Amino acid sequence: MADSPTGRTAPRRLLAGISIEYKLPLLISVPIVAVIVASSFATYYKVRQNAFTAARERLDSVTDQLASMLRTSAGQVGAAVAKAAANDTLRRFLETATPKNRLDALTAMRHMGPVVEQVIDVELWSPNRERLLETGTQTASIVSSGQVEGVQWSAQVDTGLVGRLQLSGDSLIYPVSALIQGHGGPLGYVVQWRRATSSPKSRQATLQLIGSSGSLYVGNDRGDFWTDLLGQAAKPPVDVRSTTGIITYQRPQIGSVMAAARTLAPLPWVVLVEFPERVVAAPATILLRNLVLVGSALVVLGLITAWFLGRRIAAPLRDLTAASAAIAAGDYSRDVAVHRDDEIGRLAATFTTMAHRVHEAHTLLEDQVRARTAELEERNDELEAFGYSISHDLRAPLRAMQGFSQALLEDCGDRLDAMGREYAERIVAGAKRMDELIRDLLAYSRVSRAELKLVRVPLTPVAHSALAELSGALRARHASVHLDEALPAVMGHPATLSQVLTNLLGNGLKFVPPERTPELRVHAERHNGLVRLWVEDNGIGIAPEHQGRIFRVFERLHSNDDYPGTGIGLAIVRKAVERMGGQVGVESNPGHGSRFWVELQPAAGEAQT
Amino acid sequence: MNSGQVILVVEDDPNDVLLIQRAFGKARILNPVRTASNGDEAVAYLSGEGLFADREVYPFPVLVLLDLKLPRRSGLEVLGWIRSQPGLKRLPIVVLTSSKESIDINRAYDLGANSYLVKPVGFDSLLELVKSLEVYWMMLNQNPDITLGWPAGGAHADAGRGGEG
Repeated sequence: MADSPTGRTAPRRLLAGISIEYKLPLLISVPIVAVIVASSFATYYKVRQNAFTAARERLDSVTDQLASMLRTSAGQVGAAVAKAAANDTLRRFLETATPKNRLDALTAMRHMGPVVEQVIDVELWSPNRERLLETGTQTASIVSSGQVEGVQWSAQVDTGLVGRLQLSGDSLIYPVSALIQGHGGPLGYVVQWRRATSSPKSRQATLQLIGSSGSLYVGNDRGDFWTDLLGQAAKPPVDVRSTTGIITYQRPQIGSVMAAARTLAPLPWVVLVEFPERVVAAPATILLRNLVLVGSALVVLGLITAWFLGRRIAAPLRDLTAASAAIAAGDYSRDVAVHRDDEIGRLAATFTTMAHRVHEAHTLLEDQVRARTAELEERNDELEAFGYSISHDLRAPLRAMQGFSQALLEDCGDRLDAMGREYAERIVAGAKRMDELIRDLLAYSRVSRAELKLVRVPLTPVAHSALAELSGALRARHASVHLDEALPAVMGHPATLSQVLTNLLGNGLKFVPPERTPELRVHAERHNGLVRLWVEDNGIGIAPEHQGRIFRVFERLHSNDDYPGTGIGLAIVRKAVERMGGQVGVESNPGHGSRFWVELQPAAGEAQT
Repeated sequence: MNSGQVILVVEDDPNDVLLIQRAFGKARILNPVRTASNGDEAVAYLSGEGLFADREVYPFPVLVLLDLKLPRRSGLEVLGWIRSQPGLKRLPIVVLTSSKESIDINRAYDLGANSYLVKPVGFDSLLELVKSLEVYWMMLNQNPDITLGWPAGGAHADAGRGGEG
């Protein structure tokens, strides 16, 4: 798992690094939340819309009812005033304004006052609309200042007319006029000024009608005066007189309100009912709150369930992972403690079985490897014993053959004839050759078996030591050697490298025809990041078809008489170089020379030249 | 012969013994040569036991040429034994053997050999080697004192006891 997801794939695996324990709740809760939010808001808007529709319908009907109530009560008031105006005493005064009649009229007018609590003033007006009598003083200011436009002059005997609503001091008042008809035409008018306050009883009725949150306003036909029936009220921000249906506007402190207004013509009044939208929307708001609460509870429940579920899945998976890691680390004793019958339980059981199998296979393999290793070690020991034996025992008879043949020649030479001496010489030569063979075979075997610890080896001193070893032979052949002094350092085994170079140089020197002066050249180059060391000669060369054979043991291209040797020297070179992790090769121009090369790893820190 | 400094050749191969002796003769080395043909015999000689108690005939050597491949006790065992003996541990030992194996060379030096030479096959080489040996070990080299219980020409009994010690 060392190779983590690369940057390229990271965006695709957004959740890849998160444990199932957390991923599952996340994956489950996200859609739940989305569904709950969507359905909650859909329901909320539906309910809100319904509430508004219902409220608008109610507002319409309530306003209509209130308008009709007001009209009815205005009609009643008018009728009451008309009835009161049909008074002979008043008629008499109007016909004949004697002091007595005047007094009687005033008395009658005063009777009109207290009869109805709301009546604050009763006045008697002439047909040409001059005030003749009055009972109270409360409206004096209005009247005296000519504020009589509010009065609707009734033209019929039995119908009084309610006039404009207006303010007098702190009181909301309105006039009601009734015509007094004489025998010859109109005699005058009775004008009652009434206080526009509602009784607690009628307020209660109104409240029942519009609800506690609704507000009822009554205004005049000019729209400049409004009352909530308790006192003067603030003007609505919209001129409601011209509106029809439901309108919406802002009220300070209340916020958005929906309102319906009715003009009550011919009554110069306007009725206005307002419902605050906040109150209208309250059921929807409460519903939304409840939905959010229930939704949150569901999400929490879902999260907890999913987390438990995730844990149920993730915990055994973690156990399995830990057990896998333990097995990867070589510990087969870990069992997966999952006791379930579901897929995970079966996975755990299968895993345990697999782990046991792997353990068995591993143990078997280890046993086999151990057995094979022991076998190999035994073989190797035998081989070493063989080499040791050759080294010691096979040489002793050789020394005897050689030594005593020579002793025979030296000590008893005078008693031997030429043939006897030649035979003895042949014994000496044979023994010498066999010694060389054994020596080279042992060297080959040593190079094959020895542990070669590779270190940094500068090639120049190695080349010098090889040349020193061959100095006798070089002198004998008057050989010229060109040694590149700037040889690099390689990773190798010093003694083995020295042997390699000695063998290569000795080989180059040997295969030069006797009549030719040997010229040897040693140089190095970089080749594919490796150091390639060249040993070149001007010898007889090697035909291409033979070039593959010369590095094999005992392969010889020439008779021992032409070029004496054991046929092992180049095999030693190849084996040694291979043991040092390198390669050997040859390029040759038959008849003109060979170029042997050895490739080895450069020493660390060697310049790339 | 007895007056010269004795060289002990520990060698099991009679051919090699003969060749070495011939080389000594050819090199005109006057030092007397004594031989031991196996490891036990070498130990007995150096200890002055049994036959070798007579130091008139078997004088204590100034140099041992030791073969490694020996019957019974091997050359390396003999070397180890010599180096563990308080009175013998200074004795110059030159290993002269057929083996060129580095394991043998290293082991011999570890055990305290003073030199390690490989028996050459050619007699001429052997002659050269023997000559070099004489020049180096008999002429140039300064020998240490070997004192433990070996009074020069002393009583046999002392010599024998010293050898046992």
